[in-house]
Amino acid sequence: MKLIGSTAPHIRTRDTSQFVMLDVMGELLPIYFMAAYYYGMRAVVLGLISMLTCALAQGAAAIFSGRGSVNFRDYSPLVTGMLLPLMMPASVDFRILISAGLFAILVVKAPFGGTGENIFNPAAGGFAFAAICWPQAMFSYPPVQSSQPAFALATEGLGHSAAYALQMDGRPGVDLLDMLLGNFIGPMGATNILVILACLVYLIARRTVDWRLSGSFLATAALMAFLFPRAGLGRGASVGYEMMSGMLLFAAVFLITDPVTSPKRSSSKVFYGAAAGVVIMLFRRFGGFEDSCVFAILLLNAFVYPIDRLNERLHSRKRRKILETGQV
Amino acid sequence: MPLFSRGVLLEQHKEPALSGGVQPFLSGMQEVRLQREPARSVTGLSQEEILSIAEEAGIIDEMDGRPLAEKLRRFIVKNIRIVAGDGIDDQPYISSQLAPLLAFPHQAAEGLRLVAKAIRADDWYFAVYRDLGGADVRIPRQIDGIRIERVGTHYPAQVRTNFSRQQKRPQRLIGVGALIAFYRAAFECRAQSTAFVTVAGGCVAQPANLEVSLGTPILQLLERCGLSRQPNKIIIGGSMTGITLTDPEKSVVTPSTRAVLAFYEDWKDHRYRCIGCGKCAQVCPQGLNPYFILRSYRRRMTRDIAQCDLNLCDGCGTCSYVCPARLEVAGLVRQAAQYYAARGIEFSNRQEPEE
Repeated sequence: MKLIGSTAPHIRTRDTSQFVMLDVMGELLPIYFMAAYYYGMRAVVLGLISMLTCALAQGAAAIFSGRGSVNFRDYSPLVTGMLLPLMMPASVDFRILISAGLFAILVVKAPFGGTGENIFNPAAGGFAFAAICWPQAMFSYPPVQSSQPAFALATEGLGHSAAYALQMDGRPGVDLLDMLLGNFIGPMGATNILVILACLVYLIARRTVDWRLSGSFLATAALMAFLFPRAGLGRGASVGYEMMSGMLLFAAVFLITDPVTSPKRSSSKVFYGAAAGVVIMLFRRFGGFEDSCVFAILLLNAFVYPIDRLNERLHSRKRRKILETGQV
Repeated sequence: MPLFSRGVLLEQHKEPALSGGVQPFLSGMQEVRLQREPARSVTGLSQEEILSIAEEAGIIDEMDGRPLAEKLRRFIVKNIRIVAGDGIDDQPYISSQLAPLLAFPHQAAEGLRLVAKAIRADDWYFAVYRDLGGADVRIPRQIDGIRIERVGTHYPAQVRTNFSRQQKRPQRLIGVGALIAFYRAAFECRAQSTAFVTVAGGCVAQPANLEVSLGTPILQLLERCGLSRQPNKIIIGGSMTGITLTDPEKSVVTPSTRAVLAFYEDWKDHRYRCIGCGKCAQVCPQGLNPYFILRSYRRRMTRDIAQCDLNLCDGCGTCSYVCPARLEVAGLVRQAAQYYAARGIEFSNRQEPEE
């Protein structure tokens, strides 16, 4: 009998990192389905190209970092790859998508130590890179239900999104109900409000996403929109348009909840989500880009470790108090 | 936000061992008799007599491996007035306290009365885990006139019973195995010569609770219950806190052997990197943040780790259980604690030494 030794405990929960990532990937499939419905097969082609780019980049990074074998078992580059095109217009140039993917893995993720060590969200970083380099291409969107050519580059008939119209201080020119159904111009995957909401509910029920994080983020953003509506909008309409335009909801479900780059304790998550909500609304109001969710998230990512550290100190004080009274 | 989490819900896997009762598995060795008259009733014994019986019979509490007499003396010094018979078995697969409690109710109850008298307790009861995972046994409300309290649904429940929330007083546990041995010493003049052991796990063909003679090799227990498959991991103690065994022929049953578990574990599942999900921080029953501890330990950030109160870790293993990366979180936290203890790093919270 050949026996092995290990430390306790000897039973483990069934959920592995692979499960967690597969959960998120499974949730992105319906969003891809809707994107394919609205924009044709190009959505799927973009997704596959992006996933391939990220996986190859991860492999290359693993080889060059000298960390030994390439390990794809956590699927995290694939999630990054699936997220990237969903934030872009369906008409986006393949070259832009590929450079965003390479930037996400080779600059935002790998230099910090790869999976689990990166400070900034790779998908958000990749998107920010593309948005800064090619703002024209990144922020002009094709009309909804226009079947885009799968491989050729469309340049005709591109329009501006609802977020852009909001940015220009006008009404977005879209009906709220249409927005809810995802029937408006915008990023390929971020407009399907109902589908994304369903994903949020599922991920929270599976405990892959902490409700405190997404919840505090959305609540704060909604509160900001309610308290400070843009000129010419009622308070209710302001909340509706702000929440549904741009990538705010998409970011709340898929970007801000990235486990690597969010704080660990529930109380820190509430604080982090609320801070992100405030920053995003400030960026939207005073920033130059029409869709600044990713920039707000990248900014907040930098503060995750200080938040965690501060919270640890608070917990230490609290523990001491409880221990002193002797009621454990 | 609660500072101390409720822990985790575990699949219990207590069947079929629990409903199978307690089966004897005794070597024919001569029992050691105590040189004294058997007692007739608890009331006929004085406090000193009870303590001397515990000492003479060499009874060891199966929960912590400490001598019963020593524990009782500590309780008296510490003025503990609530004592509970420990039939909790909050770890999966194990029922080596609950099964004897149901099989020998009278002996356990009289044993608990002896303990209560020895420390002049004013309240005593049996503690049984609430979540038995749909086991087929029915837990009565009373055992021989002593009430049964159901504790906790979340693991760990055992460590939380040190303080009675209703009565706002400290309380302590004595294992049911020790109580039964105590009864036999006092009323039948037998020294402790057996232990109650659950033999279970994924590779055991017929899981059972056995009453085993002390000194029986572990391998014999596994042979008694049969192996359905060749295990690669044998554990003595709990599934959450036990230790692995590498030579089951040479290891023997001791009074604190609560369970022998045999598993086959696929080691290929075990390589992921921490993705920082923070689940460990959310489940830690002591309110620690294992993620932060490991991160600071790996980078040797001593000032940060001094905030983390490593000394509060009671090794329940909940953090490792929930870890989706399958990391040895609990083991690493213990390693960090040893590393910093050896270097004399002061932690901000000093817990009083465990009694």
